[in-house]
Amino acid sequence: MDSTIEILKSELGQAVLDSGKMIGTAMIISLIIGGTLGLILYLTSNKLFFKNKVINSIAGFFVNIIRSLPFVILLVLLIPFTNIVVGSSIGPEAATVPITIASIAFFARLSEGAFSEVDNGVIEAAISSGASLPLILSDVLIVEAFPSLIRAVTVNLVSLIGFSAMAGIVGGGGIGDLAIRYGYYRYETGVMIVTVLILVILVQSIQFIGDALATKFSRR
Amino acid sequence: MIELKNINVEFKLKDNLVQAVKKVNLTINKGEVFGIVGLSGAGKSTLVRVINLLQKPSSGQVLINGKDITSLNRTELRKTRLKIGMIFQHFNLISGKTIYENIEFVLKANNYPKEKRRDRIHELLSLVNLIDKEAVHPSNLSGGQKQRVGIARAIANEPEILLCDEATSALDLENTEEILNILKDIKDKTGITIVFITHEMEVAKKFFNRVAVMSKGEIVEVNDVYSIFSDPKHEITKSLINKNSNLDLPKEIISSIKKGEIIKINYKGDDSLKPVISDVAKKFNVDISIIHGKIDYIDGKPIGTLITNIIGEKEEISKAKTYIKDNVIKTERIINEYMEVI
Repeated sequence: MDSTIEILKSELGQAVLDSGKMIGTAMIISLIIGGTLGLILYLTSNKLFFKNKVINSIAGFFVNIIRSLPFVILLVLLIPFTNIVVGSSIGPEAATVPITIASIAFFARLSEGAFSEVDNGVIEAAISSGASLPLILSDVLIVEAFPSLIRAVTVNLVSLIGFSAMAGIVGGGGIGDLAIRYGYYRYETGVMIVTVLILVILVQSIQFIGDALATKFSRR
Repeated sequence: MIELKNINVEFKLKDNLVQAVKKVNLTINKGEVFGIVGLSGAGKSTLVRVINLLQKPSSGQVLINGKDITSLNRTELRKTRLKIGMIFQHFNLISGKTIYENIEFVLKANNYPKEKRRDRIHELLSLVNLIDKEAVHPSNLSGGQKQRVGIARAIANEPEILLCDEATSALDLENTEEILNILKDIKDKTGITIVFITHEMEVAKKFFNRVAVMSKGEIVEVNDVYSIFSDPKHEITKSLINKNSNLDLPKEIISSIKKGEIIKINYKGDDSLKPVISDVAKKFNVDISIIHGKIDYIDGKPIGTLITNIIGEKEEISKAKTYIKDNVIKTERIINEYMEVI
């Protein structure tokens, strides 16, 4: 029991910090790049915008490749790339690269789904009113997709927590890594329980907040 | 003025090429209410979408005030669309925005000065009787109210043309009436040209000036609304009108009439002012009872159908029938269910 508290005292703070860094960075980048990619996938698949099979297939192909690899394999596969980007293949920064890439592809599909749920009739009405494309995107598409986008962000965040738990493989640290190193390899059941509890509470709260926000913005 | 020249619209459905609109030529005059009617699948919606190029035609020209809009670039097309409002069967309001914001959206599209927006929106909302609903989201409105928002939004930028795609088809009778009254009101105030697609002949009767009848992608008949109803030429037109004006006599009534003949009399226009029935009763030795009837007024002019039972000697009935036939547009004998002439 004493050792459990000792380990947590010395390791937990850093683990939470590392997890936060990895998840935070990946989250922001995946929302921007993944969201844009999702928008491109949507715009090139809808005949009201720029239906373009070639661009759509190319974008879809890359997203699918990343999505079809189990995260652990992607993590290893990307090591050379990670080396170029952050100059090292170990540590939290290095782990952030594959986490980000995986969540970009994931969020691209999620946001594409959120956009395609928007009623085409509403888009048609906006086009027929003579609105410009930027205005249609900001005032119609994003407004109408907003509840679904919040749900997508929630799912993305939860899966990011899952990805980050595997960061230990490249010495990335974080809460998941703590659970495996102490809880599993060193039979410190106490550490295992605490980290599992933290993860469960974290995921539950994210889901709860996400659902509440989505409901708040859903006006259907 | 809207001119459609040789419009063809083709869709690729799997491997089949579907011709939704075939060789349509149509001129719609400024300030008129022009209706396009037809059964579902006739291509009406596709055709109306061609007018603002929501649907690009496979070939043909769309001339708005003499200018072909199919050759415009993106920006010019956008500017043209600002002057063509559109309302939809399912309203298509932005569900995440309030009624106020929904109308504000189209003003934004037109770069309408920010400080004048509030006044313009209030003006529009009072025109459609929704001034107390500005802060409400569309989901809290009834169908009729949603369509009124749709109208306010469509005319916000003072368009010259208003396209209505089955605008009343999702509404009940009362709301349909209200929407039509608002549209009439707007037309009288602004002189806007209205193109209205519907499968409801009742709407055509109440609201249109001219009608085009569509079937299988082609326009089969164009005429003023009174002529379409009183003197339909094409089979499709006839069947659309018959569905609307069916005057069904219950079988029980037909079989309970044992004497004389049952004659259906159709009349219209000036004929309707002649006292044909009482003339017949005076001139010939027959009794006439009216057992069913309906008079419609379209564009202020009547179209009537009466079903009468004429009783008397065979010879007198025959003379009476000839007299009626000479004085109205059409008579027709109805036979009872046992197919015997009575």
